[in-house]
Amino acid sequence: MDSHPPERGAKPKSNRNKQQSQHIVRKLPPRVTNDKRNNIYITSKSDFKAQQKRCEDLLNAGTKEIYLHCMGYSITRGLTLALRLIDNSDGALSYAINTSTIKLVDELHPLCDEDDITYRQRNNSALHIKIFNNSLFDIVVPKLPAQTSCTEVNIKKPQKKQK
Amino acid sequence: MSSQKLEYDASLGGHVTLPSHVATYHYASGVLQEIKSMIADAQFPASSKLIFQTLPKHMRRRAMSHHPKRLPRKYRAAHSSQMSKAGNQPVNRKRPSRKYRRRPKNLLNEYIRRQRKINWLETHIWHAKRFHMIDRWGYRLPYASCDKTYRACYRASAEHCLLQDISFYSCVQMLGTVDQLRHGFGRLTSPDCGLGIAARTYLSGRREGTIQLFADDQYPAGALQSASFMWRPAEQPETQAQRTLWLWLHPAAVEATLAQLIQVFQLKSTKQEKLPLPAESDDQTPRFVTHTKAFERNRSYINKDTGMEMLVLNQEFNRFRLTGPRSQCVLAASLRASRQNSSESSTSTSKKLLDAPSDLLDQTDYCEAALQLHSPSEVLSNVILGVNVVDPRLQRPSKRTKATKLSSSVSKSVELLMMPPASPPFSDLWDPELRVRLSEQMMSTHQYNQLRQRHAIVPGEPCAFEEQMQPLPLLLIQRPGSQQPNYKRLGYAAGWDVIAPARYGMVLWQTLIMWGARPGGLREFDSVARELGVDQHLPDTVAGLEQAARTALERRTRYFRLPPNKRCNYRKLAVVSPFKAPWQSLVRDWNLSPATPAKSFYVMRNRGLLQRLDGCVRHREPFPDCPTDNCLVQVALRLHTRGSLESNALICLPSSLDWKRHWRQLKQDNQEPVHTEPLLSDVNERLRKQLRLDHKRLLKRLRARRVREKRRLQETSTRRVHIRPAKTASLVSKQSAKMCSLWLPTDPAETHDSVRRQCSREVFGYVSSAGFSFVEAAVCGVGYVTVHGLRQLLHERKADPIRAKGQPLLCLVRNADSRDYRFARLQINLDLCAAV
Repeated sequence: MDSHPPERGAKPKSNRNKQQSQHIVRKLPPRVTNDKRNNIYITSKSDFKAQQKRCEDLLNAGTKEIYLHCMGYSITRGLTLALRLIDNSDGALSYAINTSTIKLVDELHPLCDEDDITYRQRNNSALHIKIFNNSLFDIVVPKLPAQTSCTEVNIKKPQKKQK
Repeated sequence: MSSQKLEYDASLGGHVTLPSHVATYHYASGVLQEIKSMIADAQFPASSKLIFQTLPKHMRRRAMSHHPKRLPRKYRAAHSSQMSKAGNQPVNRKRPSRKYRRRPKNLLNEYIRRQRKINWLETHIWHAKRFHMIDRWGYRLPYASCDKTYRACYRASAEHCLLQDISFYSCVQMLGTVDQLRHGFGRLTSPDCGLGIAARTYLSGRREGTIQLFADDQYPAGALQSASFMWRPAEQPETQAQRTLWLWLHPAAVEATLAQLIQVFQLKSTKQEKLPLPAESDDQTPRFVTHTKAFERNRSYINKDTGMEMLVLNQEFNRFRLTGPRSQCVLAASLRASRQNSSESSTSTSKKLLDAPSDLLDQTDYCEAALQLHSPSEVLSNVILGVNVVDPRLQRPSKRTKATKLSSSVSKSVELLMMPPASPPFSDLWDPELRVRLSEQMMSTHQYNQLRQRHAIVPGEPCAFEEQMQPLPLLLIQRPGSQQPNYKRLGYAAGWDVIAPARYGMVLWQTLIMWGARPGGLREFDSVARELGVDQHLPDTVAGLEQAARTALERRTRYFRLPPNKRCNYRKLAVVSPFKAPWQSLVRDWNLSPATPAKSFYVMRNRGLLQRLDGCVRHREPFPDCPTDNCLVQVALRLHTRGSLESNALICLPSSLDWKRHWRQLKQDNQEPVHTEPLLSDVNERLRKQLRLDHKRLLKRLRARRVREKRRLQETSTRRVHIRPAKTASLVSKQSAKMCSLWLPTDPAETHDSVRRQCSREVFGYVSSAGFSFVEAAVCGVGYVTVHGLRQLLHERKADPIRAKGQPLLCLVRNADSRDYRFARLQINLDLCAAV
């Protein structure tokens, strides 16, 4: 294991075929940082309408705030979902966005007997959208989501927008 | 010669002389005859009396002939055999009372009797109370829970923890040098299918590997099974000494695989050994004595020249399979590492041996840290962890509770993945003597309960004696689950396998169940494999062939159990093989050169070729040219709109008409089937009707004949005459066989092109397992198509300009009992056996 230092750097896209011929890439699922009910993880395969309904149900049931987490390819989906929720709420909802970078590790399984397993570390950008009830009666101070502590490398400037 | 003497009164007796002595052998031969006849008389008495009639008068009882218990005990067996020969059943055939049967001794005897024919797992009685049990592969195995748990088991495998007992996998231990094993297994497998047995990543014993086994030098044909294996970690690294290897074989193909191993490594059974006798003189030819062992606990084979050894470890281990992300929590809750004495001895020695850097965790700490992670898929895939745990009985909750994640979650999953533990997973389980001692010294549950009763002052609190219970060595093996992120949920069905020594099965099982694991049976293997999008047994393996034959028989019997108006007429539906997929005829019909002699079909396992085919399907690369007659490719199918898919459905090539219709339907949002098979006429229908009428008429005529005969006899007789028995059984069975053959289509093996052109669309594949997949929220299936059919499909796609780029590859599917063709998305499976 020690003889094979882990490869670093982003996933190369151009020489995909060359990569495939040398080893099989096994991706590890990214870590779920918080599995409470009001944390929703958006993937490229999850059904958009179902997740929208899930968010609306959660908010209508009295949850003060929900967090949408999305990573990489599904960031646009997450943004669309957040905007759709806010558009449909007639100004009752506001949001705050955090960005972060998530470290991911891929296992590279060899194709010939002499090699050992190696690793590839790469980073992926992630977005954590907090959607909260913008009620007049309880003044909510939007805080940074607490669950991003362990996986975040650097928190870029948090933006806060009020609608 | 004996001298002749005169008798004392020779004057009276005349010339009669008697010999002075008798030769002993004459005497002995005479006596021998006498003894023989005496024994024969004693054994088979010539008297025609029954046993109870031979008793002296004072021992006779009135009801003796009816009631064997009235006889002295030593005559009872003979009496009952006499009675049964005479046709009189003894009266006392009543089932013994439940109270008698449930006495521990009688119950145990009954259990032992029932295990004579078929093996039981250690958790058998637990399962038998809750599961439907079926006989499979020489074991009595749980099929599915008596409760309705199909969806619950899926949820457990996706979100919680599904627990299955796979102790029926048999473990084969091989002992030899690495070179011998590499060379031998090189003949049984092929480098095309993946890593070999002696790959560097497996050789250290840190990871479990999987190889595809084939019959000796018959690759790609003659597939046996895919087997997982693990190497025993070497005590001293870098030695040429003998290494130990465990192969875990599926019970369906154990015997076939063992036969191949014996042939390849030239092993001999040690059950009969020829031992040379000590030579008395040098000139003698060496003499041998054959020494046969009456009982062998584990079958063992040996090659004296090379020193190879093979040992079949049947029922030496319990192997439990935990599936699902929460299996971490269940394991973490039920296994507490035992550190009492091991902390000084084992870890220090291993550290001395390997001179490992101090920042690496030792096995126990590593295992504990790994079990704290969120999901099993975050650990290195197929990693083996060896750990000594305290007796699992001490770790049970008072009530059945769901194991939850501990609050202090470690965040160093990356470090844990990249840093190996300080030592490879040494375990006591590898040592046969320690295994025997473990199971001998295990405290039985009864003993444990009695001790608790005596010592526990507060119920539920730990006792002092519990610290003295022996620790239990376990091996934990990670399974990575689904690894195709582009079309499956990443890491679905990830989990752990737990290997425990014999006798500890029930103890560990109950603890895991108490921590909220959901028990599953054989049905869950199928459903998890289907959710994963792979096939459990490939159709050319031993297990696959056996399974196909069994399901075909089941379907056939079910079909003929239905009343005729509920059976679907496969001749009208143009389905030639309704109960099993005719792979052999399919590849015969698709072979380019039909003159070649028919070889058996096989499934393509060559990863490079599969990747190139996948490139053709996904990225429209040119089709690779390869020698691919008789070859099937595994594909994953997925229906988009309505429709269901069952196993044994047909996969067909769409025609240009279908494409037009497809586009029109897409525009109109029309969900009807793309094409409906026109009904054929059944030529046998009239034949069957005629046959049935004739048969009925014949039976009626025979009965009338018997009635007439009876009446004629009655006229002359004074007593009442009964009608003669019909005795038409052979006639009826012949008729039903004929009727069955008229119901079913002709066998596809007989005529050429019968499978490929059986219906209005060309058939190029069959579905092997299908159903609704909860992961995909769609009807999914796994099927096999011929390479030439796939080539034609791709060629037609290229020729068709309408189909826009980026559209997935589509094919037509039709269930065997339906006329509707629907489009399904087709994708090539690269990982053929991720489920095993």
